Amino acid sequence: MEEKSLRVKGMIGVMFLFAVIMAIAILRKPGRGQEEIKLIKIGVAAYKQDDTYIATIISNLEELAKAYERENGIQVRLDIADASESQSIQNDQITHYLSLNYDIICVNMVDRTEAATIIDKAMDKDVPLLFFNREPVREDMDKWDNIFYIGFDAKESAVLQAGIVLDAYRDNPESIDKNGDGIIQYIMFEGESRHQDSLIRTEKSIQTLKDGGLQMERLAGVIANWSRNQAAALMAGFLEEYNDQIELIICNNDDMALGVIDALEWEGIDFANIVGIDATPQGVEAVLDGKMLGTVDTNAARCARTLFEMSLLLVEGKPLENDIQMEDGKYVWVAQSAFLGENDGE
Amino acid sequence: MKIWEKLFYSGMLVLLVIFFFFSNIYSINDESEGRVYNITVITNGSSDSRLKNLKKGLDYGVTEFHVDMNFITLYEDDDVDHQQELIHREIENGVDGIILIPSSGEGVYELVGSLESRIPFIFLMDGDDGDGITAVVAPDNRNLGRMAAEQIMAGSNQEQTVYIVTDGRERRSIQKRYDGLTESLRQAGREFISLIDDDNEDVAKTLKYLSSDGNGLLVAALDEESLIKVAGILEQEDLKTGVLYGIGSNNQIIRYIEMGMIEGTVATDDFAIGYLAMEQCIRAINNDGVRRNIVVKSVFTDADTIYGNDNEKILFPIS
Repeated sequence: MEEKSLRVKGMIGVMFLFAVIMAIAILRKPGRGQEEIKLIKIGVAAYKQDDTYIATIISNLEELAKAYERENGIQVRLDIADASESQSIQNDQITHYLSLNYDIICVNMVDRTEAATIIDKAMDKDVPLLFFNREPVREDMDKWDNIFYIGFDAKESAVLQAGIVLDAYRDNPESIDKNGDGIIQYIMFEGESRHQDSLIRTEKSIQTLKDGGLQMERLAGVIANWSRNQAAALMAGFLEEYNDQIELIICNNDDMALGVIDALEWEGIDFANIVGIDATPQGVEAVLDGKMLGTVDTNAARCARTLFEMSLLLVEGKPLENDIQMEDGKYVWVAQSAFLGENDGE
Repeated sequence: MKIWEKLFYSGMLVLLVIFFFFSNIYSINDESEGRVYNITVITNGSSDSRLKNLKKGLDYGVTEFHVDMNFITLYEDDDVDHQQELIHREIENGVDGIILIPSSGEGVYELVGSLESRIPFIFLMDGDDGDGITAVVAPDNRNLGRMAAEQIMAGSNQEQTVYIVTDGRERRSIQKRYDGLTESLRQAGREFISLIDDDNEDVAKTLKYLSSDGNGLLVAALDEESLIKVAGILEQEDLKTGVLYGIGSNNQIIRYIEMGMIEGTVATDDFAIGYLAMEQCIRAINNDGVRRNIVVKSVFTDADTIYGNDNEKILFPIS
């Protein structure tokens, strides 16, 4: 009886030892919460680095990383990957970051409907993802707690953009309605059809102008894919067709507005009833130079700061809620404002 | 020992073996692509905006050779002290190799020559063979100057003075471009005057003054920054009689060429420089036959030839 009891105790002892070995093996996987942080690795996967707005966010991120490194003596490795508008290239870039144990990956999706693959890989490696500017679909965002989206409300951008035109019209109707027929003849330049904001910005800005009492007549509408060059080429064509009729040009972003300005300058036409969105440095300059009526400041600097702050909090294992205002625990909306240059009332 | 006890202990042993087997598989998966090379790239500027094609070439190498690349820009442009500090730090961090665009002056060359660490150092864009330098991947800077001179002479009158703008000639590459350009101009009996672009406003005033005689302004800018600045000055001051040639290429320069503000530029194959630098660094790490001096191709491009086959590949490389 005693011998049997000893044997049972021995077996319990072996099981206990086994459990201890398992626990040690699992716990030895390093967790950043306890260790001293000497290096933070942040990967930034951009859909296209030539996009001026994205480039502005990235340059702000680079400045923030350098400042943090200087102040805290903690090395920040910020690697930028340009997907050149190819989702498969971007998937490879993110796989590369994951294989090199990056702490955080900031993702500006090429195709917002294709986030599931990336999210699955990041979940496997337990690496948080901060999506920005191009919002993944809700089903994908709900796949995991450690994925977040930082962007701005497209409807708000459109309302602010329309507000710039409405204010100018109310100040001096003839400055907008040049032929005095009571109808605003306009051309619309839209961003990529697969970007969630293109349609919203287009529809909401026109709706807001109509709600504000303007009668609108669309001369032409075209998709220029956020691109300055494409917008310039398309505008050159519109100038041949509609030159004297155009009273307003609405662009979904500043790059396309700048392309429109390029085309006008090539033809030597003095026309500034152009509105954009983003307030990129070049867009701001165009407004200040009087080449553009105004733009919407979507606050690339704030977007970059939020990305960086969230990255640090996640690396340090701190809760985001205390420092970052979020919707549904994963959406961060960056504040916007109209920018009118010297006439800016703000 | 009874049979059920034997079964129990055997079962535990099998579980333990299975556990460690899977545990090891997990570790192996982490590095399934073989050795990861830790390579640091240190630029000489505070921004990578003018290095986009170079970065694309480096990135291509990163994917091909499975590199964990640390691409570092300086706190300030041409900050020699910071560059030296970074070299020390990265060596202490245990990197396998360093790819470097040297800052102005001799400081970085002296440092690399004096280091006891024997990791590979690949110099880019700008450099000479020297102590501690494993390989140099760069264009023939002197020839870039000659190529620019040929185009300038072909597109202007013998009597026109060539105004040469640089951001200073402390960088070896710029000095070589200057030497190549002026040597060709001298041989052709052409007159030239150097303007150092250390104060943007002064250069703007000088160019405006020089253009006031109505004879037309002929300018050669020897680096990207000066080229963009001068093009901006010609645009802002509306100096439409100005004819500008340059060395270097990026999106802004191409835009100015398309707008007619820049007549033409000598462009280097920066993508190839980036890729070849990464390849040489890997070869050096593996002691696998490094080429000490690699000279990359350069082409002249103007509005008519930007989208020609050869030029397009260099100006718009696909990553």
